[in-house]
Amino acid sequence: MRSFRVRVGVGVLLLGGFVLVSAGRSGSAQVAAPATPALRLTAELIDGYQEARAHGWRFLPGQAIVRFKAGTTQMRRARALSALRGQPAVGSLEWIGDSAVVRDPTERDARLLVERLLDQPEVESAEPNYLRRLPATRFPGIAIENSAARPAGTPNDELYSRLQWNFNLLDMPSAWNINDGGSSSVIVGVIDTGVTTQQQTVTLPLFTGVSIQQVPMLFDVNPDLPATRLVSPRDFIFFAAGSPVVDMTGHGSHVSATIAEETNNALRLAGMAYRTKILPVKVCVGYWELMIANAQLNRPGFLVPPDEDGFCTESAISQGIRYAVDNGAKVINLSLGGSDASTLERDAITYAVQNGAFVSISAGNDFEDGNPTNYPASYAATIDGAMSVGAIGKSETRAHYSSTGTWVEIAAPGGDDRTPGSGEDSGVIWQSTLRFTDQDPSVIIPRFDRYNAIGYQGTSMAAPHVSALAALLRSQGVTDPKAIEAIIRATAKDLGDKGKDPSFGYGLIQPRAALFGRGLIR
Amino acid sequence: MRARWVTLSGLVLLSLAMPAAAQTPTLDAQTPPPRRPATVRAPRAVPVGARVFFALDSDTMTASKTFDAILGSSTLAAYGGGGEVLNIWRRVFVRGALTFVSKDGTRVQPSGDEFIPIGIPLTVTMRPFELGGGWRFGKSERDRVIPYVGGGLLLVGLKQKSTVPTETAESTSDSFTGTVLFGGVDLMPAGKFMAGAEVQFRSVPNAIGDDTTTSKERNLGGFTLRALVGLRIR
Repeated sequence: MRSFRVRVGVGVLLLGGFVLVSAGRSGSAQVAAPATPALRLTAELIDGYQEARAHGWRFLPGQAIVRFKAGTTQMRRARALSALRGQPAVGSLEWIGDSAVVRDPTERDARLLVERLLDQPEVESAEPNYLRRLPATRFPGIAIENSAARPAGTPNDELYSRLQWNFNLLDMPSAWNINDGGSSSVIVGVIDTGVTTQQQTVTLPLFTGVSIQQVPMLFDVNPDLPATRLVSPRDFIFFAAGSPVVDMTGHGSHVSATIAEETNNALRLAGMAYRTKILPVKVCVGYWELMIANAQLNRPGFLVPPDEDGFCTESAISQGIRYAVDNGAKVINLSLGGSDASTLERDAITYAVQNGAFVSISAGNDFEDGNPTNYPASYAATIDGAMSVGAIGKSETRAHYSSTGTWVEIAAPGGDDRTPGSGEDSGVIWQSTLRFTDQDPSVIIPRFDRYNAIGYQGTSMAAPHVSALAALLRSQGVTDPKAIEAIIRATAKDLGDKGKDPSFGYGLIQPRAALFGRGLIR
Repeated sequence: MRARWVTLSGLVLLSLAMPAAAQTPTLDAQTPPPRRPATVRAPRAVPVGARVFFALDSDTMTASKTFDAILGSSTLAAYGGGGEVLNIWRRVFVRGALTFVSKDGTRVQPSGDEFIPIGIPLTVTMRPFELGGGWRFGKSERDRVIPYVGGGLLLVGLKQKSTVPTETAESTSDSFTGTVLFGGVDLMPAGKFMAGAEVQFRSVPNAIGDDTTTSKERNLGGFTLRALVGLRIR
């Protein structure tokens, strides 16, 4: 209670200061006028998420994904839906490809909803709308930026030599000699928590400890991933369509930075495919999105923060994949997952590959939590053109958290803070992203406009290495996702047991070998 | 070889000795003519000669998938030349020939039985050097058509140069040893000028690629059709 009072007091003080700061910023010509975009994040999702957490469910209550048999008429669909307790109308279905989201708020346990749907002769398949997690852990430290000596041939980004062991492990400087960052014509869709696409101050409701207030919130673009590198952003979970995309946790920005952070700009760190473009798709939300949406509903109080950086729904993920593919993405990064199989996601990944997009999926961080099969990663093993990516640490051993299974296809650096003698970099993956102290749930007023070199570890961090390599291959004219997968496999450095194994798949990616290929003489 | 030189030396000595014999006084009619030494029968052997030629080759490579993928074709045009010493012993000849082929292509990544082009330009240069010998049919170099067959060693110099935007061009070279079998015909259209056609089978095992590809194409040899023009020097 005492801490709550302290928090409230600090909140009031901070709010006053914050308003002043934002007022000062508004003089800048680049700052968009304060606006309050419509929210897509509804009470249904907030309450559903809280309810799911309370029950230990890994799905959204009151929702299911249904696929009707081919040729089922509207009338027959209506009949099938009438068998549900809430009798939702056919018109309320939210279509994603051949499947649709059914909402029946009267049936909270989605497993029962699915059971009823499967009993209907018109229904081909049904499943809950599963929640996915972001398999990443933020490292509690910010890199101090100052100039450092750099070895010849390495990027001039000031922290590159000190922190980006992962790129040296992959011998990226020699790979960049072959392909210096890819091409701006290659678009990588990052299906994640979003990437902030424009500098703006957005007035949003927020419970500040005393009451719900309209708070001007600062958003800015990562200077190391400028707006010119971002295309066709889209939000499928927080802001309504037409609003800019914002990242409020830093996960999506970090993942995107591994792929495409500006390089050789003497600022912070480097990205692997630093000339490619990012198509940010926001399908996951964290604490602050929930708080804002809750306040929008005029519901005061603090919410319990998510366990990790946030959560995503399989319906939003599937929509996001399809959107990215339809808008030109030729590589899709999915640094997310869960332990429940989803036909909807598998269909979306298949759609991506069929439309020429390579898909890289994190294998999951659940090795020490029962090591369940991870989805959608495990689908990659049966889809040529999609790869599931396990994580290794600095010593080229499996990261302690990295899930294993026959479905793990490839390995890339994901960081491992348990690697002995890691030194300054702590063995984790460093990229430029939101300064996490600005958005920690313990602050009263968050801000989303300051970036720094931040360390993360997880298969979330491994997957973008593979996405970036795919983007580099794509920029060299390898357009078939199956061919991209074949090259990445064939050139991998075998780790662990000989040949493909459950920890590393085919082994550690080798960018230079993949990009350079061979002539007559090997 | 040594016997041949001994024979030739004998012939030279004999020819030097003959004028002296002509100056000796005429013998009586009753005196029987001296018997001809047995060594005089040696000139039945075909005289040693030589030929030099310019060659235009069409090489059809055994590793057709590899060459198709990297160079866009498994049939390459080569040019070069060589020389032969003819009739060093009866109709035996020895040959040395060097040809040159260069073609632009792209680097690839093998995947199963496929090769995926990866957009990095590549120039391949091959210099096969033949060292061999054979047998020329027919009785004389004066024949209008002379078939021949032969074989020998093949030393192939292979160089590839890749050009990437931000790196000094990478050049790799190696040489490989193989064998060559050949057969052809020489035509003598006019005087010392000759033309001919030849077919070769070349084998240069374990030279290219690796065993990761399903087809396991590792041989740098193939069939060569050769057109020759040149001079014959007696």
